[in-house]
Amino acid sequence: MINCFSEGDAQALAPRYTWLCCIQVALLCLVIGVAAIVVDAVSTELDLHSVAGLLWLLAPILLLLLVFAAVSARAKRYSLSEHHMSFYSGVLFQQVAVQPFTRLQHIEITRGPLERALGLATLKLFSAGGAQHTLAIPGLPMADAEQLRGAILGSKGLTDEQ
Amino acid sequence: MSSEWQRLSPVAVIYFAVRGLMHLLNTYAVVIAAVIAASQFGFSAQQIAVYVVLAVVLLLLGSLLYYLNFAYIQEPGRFLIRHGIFSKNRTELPFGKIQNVSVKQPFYYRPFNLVVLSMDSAGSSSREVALAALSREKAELIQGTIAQFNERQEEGAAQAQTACEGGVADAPEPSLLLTRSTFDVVLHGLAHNRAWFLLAVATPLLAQMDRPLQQMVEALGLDASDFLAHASMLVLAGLALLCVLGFVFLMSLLSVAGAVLALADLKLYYDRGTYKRTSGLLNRYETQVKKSRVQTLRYQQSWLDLVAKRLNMVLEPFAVATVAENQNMMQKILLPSISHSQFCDLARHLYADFDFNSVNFSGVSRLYLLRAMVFLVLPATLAAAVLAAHSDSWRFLTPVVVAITLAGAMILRWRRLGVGTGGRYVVVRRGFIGREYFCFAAHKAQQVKIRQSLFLQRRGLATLEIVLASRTLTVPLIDQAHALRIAEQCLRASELSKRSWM
Repeated sequence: MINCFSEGDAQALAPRYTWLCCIQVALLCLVIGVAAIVVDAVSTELDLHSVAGLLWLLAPILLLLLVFAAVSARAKRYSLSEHHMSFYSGVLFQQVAVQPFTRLQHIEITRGPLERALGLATLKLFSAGGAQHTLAIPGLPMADAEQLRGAILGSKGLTDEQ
Repeated sequence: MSSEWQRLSPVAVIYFAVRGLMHLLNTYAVVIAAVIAASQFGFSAQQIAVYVVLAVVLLLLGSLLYYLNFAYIQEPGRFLIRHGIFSKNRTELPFGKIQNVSVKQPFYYRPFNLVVLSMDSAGSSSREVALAALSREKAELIQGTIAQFNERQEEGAAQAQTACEGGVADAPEPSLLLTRSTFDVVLHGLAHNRAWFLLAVATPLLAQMDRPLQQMVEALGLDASDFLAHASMLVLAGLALLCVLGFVFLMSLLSVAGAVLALADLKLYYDRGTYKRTSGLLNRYETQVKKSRVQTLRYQQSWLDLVAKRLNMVLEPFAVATVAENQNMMQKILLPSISHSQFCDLARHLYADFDFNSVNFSGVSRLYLLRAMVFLVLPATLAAAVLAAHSDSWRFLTPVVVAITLAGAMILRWRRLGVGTGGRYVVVRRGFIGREYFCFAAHKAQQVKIRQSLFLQRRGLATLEIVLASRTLTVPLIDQAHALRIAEQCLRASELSKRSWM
């Protein structure tokens, strides 16, 4: 683990988030699998052998992706301090991103359909660094996300700036 | 300041027409497609003329429609602008959000003494708004109103800031900081070739030149094919070299012409907390950037600059992502072809306690080279070997040349990579043959990232990434403790400084 910014007290994401990631991967594989079968059926005669062959090929890949998704989800953690929010991610390539509150432009809570179904939300912290550097903390129970947002908005870091 | 929608002067139609044409020409794809289409279909001169006239008429019509639909109201503290032919857009531009106000005078407005006032805003939904064909007095009045409004808003913060900066006291008169001679601008044009895109347009035309060239050569009584068949390798190589040199010379001339058009008679002023640069031969451009809004200072030196012992300095405010590329260029202030000592002086003018020469740099780990070898040089060499396998003479030469070139390039890059700190400032270094430095005050950091693979962890190395409002700076493979120190310096400065990053 990267031992900086005291990762010791970092919070893991909700266990349901792991399920969310796995479901997303499974859905993606399903879509690709169906597309492959359709292409196969259209190009040659629909042959049960080729469909079975395709499934045999996809199954271990799907398994690998699911394992990887689960492990990455478990590796994500966040840590809220008085002045900044840190987000840890990555399994083989670990990364920590730290967003100081004094540089926050605005905060958003977003919920996709899957997230809504599982009662989760993503907290997004926007700075002036551009869209690709938005600090996004996924897999938060809705209540936690709102509590975090309130805590950040009321934090010393922001009120001092004003 | 009426509270009714005001239209611009009818002369603004010319500005909209020219702007429309520029947008069209900037989509190189369109120009290339048009040129290719024209050469493929073998239009006669008459047909081309008809199409050109048609295009011009359409352009003027579109500009007229746009002009009729354009109106603005200046209210205390903000602009309301109504524009758009099909989509009726209403843009609200509060003065506080206006990051940059520039006054341009295109050459076709000079006889009328009219100008174009351009304003762009910071923020996530930024647009550039241009009020065309205003009289110079009106434009300066609006500029003054905006400046006054913003000054009043930032009075308290600005006082605290100048006290902290402890640097240049704001003089009542605008002070001239820098001028560039025509020689400097020509050097810049030579060192930074802006004409390469013409290559894409020229290629189909060059393909057409084949037959007329042949005819010319025959007319001169030379038998070209015979000559080429019997000429020695040396002569052919010499001819090829001559052609390439001629082409490069032509490109350079064009680039110099472009540089002179844009940067002639360049002057940099400092006036009440704002840097202003005026330049331009036919069109007179003026760009302003508030001192407090500068995020990074860029020191840019290409290999040709290195030979001439010059560099370019760029004052970078926020990156405005949605604005088109060349409009973005006008927001940064580029100071071409200056000397190292001029850079240090200007840097000290911006950052009173920054001494560029005393920054201690540390380089990047040798692992960078190992990584480059494994992931770039080796695969590329193998690919080259495979491709050259059938050719007898090149079989060994090609992969060797590829390997040496890539490895050499990576070594040059590795030598330049580095990061250093000097007081409250951080400088990231990179480059190839020339050098590039990015200097910024630690408290301007928006976000800090550290990346470390398991492999690097064991070696105590990490990649540092600092996100600023103008750009993101990455320093790969530096000592982990050093990365942490710099990251913490930036975070502490951002969090604890009461200073606004703007």
